[in-house]
Amino acid sequence: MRLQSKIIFMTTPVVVIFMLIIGSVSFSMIRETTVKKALSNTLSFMDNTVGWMQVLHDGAARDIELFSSSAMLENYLLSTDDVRYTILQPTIIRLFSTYQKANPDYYEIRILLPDGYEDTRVTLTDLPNSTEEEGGSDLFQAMRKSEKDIFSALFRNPDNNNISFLTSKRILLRDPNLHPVNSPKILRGYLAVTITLEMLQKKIKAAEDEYGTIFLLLDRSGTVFFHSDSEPDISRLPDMELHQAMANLDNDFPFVISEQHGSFLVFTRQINDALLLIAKIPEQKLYASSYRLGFAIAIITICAIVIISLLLFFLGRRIIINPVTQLRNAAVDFGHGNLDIVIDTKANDEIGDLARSFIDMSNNLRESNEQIRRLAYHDFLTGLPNRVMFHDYLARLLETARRQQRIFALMFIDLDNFKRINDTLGHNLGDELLKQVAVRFKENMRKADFLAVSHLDKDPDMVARLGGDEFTVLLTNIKDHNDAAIVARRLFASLLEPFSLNAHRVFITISIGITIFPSDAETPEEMLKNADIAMYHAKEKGKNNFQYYCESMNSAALERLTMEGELRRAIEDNEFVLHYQPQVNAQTSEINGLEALIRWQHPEKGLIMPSAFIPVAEESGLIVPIGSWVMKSAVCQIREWQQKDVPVVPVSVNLSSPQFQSKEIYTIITSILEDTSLPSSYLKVELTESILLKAEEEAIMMLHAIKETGVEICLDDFGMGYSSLNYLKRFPINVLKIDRSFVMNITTDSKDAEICSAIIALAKCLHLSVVAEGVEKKEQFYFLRDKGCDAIQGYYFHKPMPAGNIEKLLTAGKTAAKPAAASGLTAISASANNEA
Amino acid sequence: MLCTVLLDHCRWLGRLLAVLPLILCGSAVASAQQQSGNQLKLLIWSEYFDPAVLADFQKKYGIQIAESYYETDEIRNEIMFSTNGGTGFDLVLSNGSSLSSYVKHNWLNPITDKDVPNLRHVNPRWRNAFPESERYGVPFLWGTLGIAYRQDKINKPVTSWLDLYRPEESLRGKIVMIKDSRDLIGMALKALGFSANSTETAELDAAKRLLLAQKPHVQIYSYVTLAQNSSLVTGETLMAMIYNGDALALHQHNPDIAFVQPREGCNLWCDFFVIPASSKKKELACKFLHFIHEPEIMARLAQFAYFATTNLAAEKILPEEFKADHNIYPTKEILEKSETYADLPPRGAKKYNDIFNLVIQ
Repeated sequence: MRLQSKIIFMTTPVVVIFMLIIGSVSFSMIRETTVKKALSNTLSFMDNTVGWMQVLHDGAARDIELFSSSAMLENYLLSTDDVRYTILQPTIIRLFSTYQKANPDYYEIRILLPDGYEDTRVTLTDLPNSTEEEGGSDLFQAMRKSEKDIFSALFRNPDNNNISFLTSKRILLRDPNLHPVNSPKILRGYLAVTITLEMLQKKIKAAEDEYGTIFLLLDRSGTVFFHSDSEPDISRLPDMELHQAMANLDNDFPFVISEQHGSFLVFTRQINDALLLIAKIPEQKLYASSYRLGFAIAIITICAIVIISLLLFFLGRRIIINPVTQLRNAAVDFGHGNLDIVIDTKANDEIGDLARSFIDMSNNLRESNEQIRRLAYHDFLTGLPNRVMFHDYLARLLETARRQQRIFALMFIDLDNFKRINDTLGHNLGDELLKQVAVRFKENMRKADFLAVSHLDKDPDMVARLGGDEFTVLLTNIKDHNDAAIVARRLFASLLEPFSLNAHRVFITISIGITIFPSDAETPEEMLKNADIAMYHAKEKGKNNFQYYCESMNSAALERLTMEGELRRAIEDNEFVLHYQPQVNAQTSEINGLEALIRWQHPEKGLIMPSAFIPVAEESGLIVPIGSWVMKSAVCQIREWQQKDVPVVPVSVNLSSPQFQSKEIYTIITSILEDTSLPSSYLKVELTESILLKAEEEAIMMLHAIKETGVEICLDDFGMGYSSLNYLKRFPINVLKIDRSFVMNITTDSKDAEICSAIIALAKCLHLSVVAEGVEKKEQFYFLRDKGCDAIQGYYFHKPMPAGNIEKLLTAGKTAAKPAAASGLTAISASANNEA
Repeated sequence: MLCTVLLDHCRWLGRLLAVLPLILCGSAVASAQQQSGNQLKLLIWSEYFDPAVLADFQKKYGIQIAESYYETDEIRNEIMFSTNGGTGFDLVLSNGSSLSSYVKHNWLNPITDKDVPNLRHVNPRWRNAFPESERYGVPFLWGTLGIAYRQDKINKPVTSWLDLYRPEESLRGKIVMIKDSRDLIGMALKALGFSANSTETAELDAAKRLLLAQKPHVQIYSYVTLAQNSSLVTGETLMAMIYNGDALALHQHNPDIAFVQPREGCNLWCDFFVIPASSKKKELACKFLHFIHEPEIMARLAQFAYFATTNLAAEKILPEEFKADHNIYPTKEILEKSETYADLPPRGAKKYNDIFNLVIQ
């Protein structure tokens, strides 16, 4: 608005000054013209009137000459009284009437005798005659005394009290019958024509102007006969005025006289040598009219100023202010990050150029922004939206879906065994694989026919890469849960073709977890987490499949996730402890071995049994460090006891499948034994049948290597799995441990008892030691002892117990070991083993 | 009898001709005189003189009578004046009252019994009825002035000049008055009970007022035509001032047209033939005057015009019913109350002129 004010402040004075100059110049011009026109109107009217009067006067003089030359009139005037009236007068009257009909202005035609007697009088209308004896009247005396035969005068006709114009002719005749030709003519009478001045009055009335100009008709003596401003009263013009009027006779420039009513501009014209016409223009009114004019011009000027200012104001607004304001608003918008600005760029002036530059600038900026956003929101490798963009989009989508009560699906995709590919082919090819996978995903999303509608939608489907080999897909506009499965199947199908990676042909599978909004989750975080859970589930189900999320998955996964985290912490904080369960010689009941059993001393939950956390540890891979720790701790404990001269027995440590598969276990065992200098005969390792099942040639070689070191190998839980006798042949086994499920029923189930007997017998044949687990009762112990079982492990003799207790037991055990139940000792010496 | 019904018996018919007397008398008549020495130029009312008589005169003497007509006495006076006493005319028919003026101007030739022997038949009463009439004039016909009216349209009997001058409202615009100052003003004076020759200002003023009051009722100041389509015959006019004989002529067209000589009396007029002093054919003119005063001729002339004759011998041979018609021969009563127009004194005449001019304006 400041620019607008400036424009107004700049233009308005120019307009005002310009208009004032125009106004004042035109005022003075018009005023001059008006006054001139008024004066010239008056003058021309006067000249016109004088001309008219002169024509009237001359016409009357001519007519009277004509009338008087009539032989009839001459005869009449020469006739004597006796015939004059009886015979001649009617004729004369008819003659005069004819004249009157020809010129109605001659309203009275008379013959006056030399003594003033009105001999004949013809009037146009029934005009009463005031007197027949005119001899005494001023007019007649003037007529009589006039030097010229033709006489003219203005007078008031006493017959009708009107101002009239009289022209008369003195008629001199010689009677040819009575007088000689050369004798002087004798005055016989006067022929007089009275002319109405109504026409003149009408003319003056019609000439009445806005200034109230007064016209006077007067003779040179100052007698006023006609006064346009008042009733026709004969009055006299003041001598002063008369003198001035005479001095300015026929002057085209007015003179000024001042009266008590104000001053007048006066013109004087002479009609003939007797009569004058005077015009008096009231000066005040004359100028008043020009003041009115000036007022009108002032108003027009002001109006013009206002109109032009308004025009300038609106034009300025339209041409300059509005575009500038628009640009400014656009710039503000720009500042707020709105690059989609709409500006009028049609103007072909500088502002238009500016607007176009602005648009160019915004376009460039928008492109830069796009690029930045692409970088910020897209995965550099695949070009897919990245985690940030995915989260934004998910959050937005969720809000929209919630508002519109729509459902949508989130698919969490993980490549199966990608790590191995990465390890074997290298990171570069792994990245290449990810790129190609992304391309296939995108292609298949586009093909999604049931999503045809969604192309019209504001929220298109999205494939994103969260990182590593994790992809997500958002199906924004599905109709029901099954739609997600259709997409999932198509994704699987897309991977049936192998990928070409640098001459390698690679097949890959994926695992997909699907969550549906709103049935499965309510927040973006939940959506992603649940999809992740479902994906995990798919992995567990053997990979290369998809799973819909369901509630139950969640609690298990949650527990496992929690535990996984806690386990990591536990490893760092060293929260694990080892308990030991002694094994006793079946014949002597002396302790001849220990099984190291891990316990988790949880700071909040207390002591946790391994069955509660080992599966999690195995899945998460944490079992490897934990296993190493167990191995190390058990070896160190035995060595410690040995150094304290506590009579030690071998300790057996469980090996898990991941431990076994990471081929470092041999290195670990040998390095621990070396570090502690414990004879390898004091260490045993326990394997389950399931581990052996998966074992490959390499693993068997490693087992042999371990056995070579002198560490004995025990086959745990024998009888539970495949219990293939082939194992016993293929693997370097030293000890068989009969599974507790057989032992539990040997006293009640004859079949179990037979199996146990068979196992023991088999072991004896193969020269393997046999250990029975889970012995809790005396009958069980006796049965096994009788059958020839080498060692017994179980609550009947000893529960698992902390190292301190074992140390006492070993120290004391030199003497004798009695069954816990039988001897009534503490739980430490109890033999029952409940462990899984 | 030579009495015939003449359809166009109208002495006013020559109006147009009469408007142009100045031209006629100045040149045409003069030249006609030169062409034929056997022609007499006569200035007379139109359709007043029986053309058959003129034909007989021509047959008998070989003298042709050329008629010129005037419309009113004033026009005739004008002609006389402008021709300096009727120069170019051999005979002029004049009203009695104008004769003395003519004589004063020396415009007339005196006529004696010797010149016109048949003057012996003329009633002396008419011969000297007007100043100078005996020496300079030969009487012709005489008559009165009265009121013609449609008796079928006017219920009230018409008996007085006031019935004409102060008419009933129903007669507004239905009256025709003679355009002659003496007739108009004189009968108004009679109506008011004054002399028809009065010059008394008061009496004339009263007459003027009467005339001005009557003016709105007057259809026209002129003279009714005597033809079959006359406004009196058609009923356009219901009342008119008229010379007695003309009323009788109109009666022939419509029996409902009645005539009355008002009880106040009326004007008695008499026409005189005079011979202008300028005429070179006085002898022939006298021969004509002598001829028309042959009793049989005069009787024909009277019956032609329905007017009374001044010739006593002719009167004798007129039919009795003609003589018994009081509209032609007024009763003694009417005659006693009636007046002839006197020569007015100059300023009296001027008054008449002024009033007349005012009324007919």
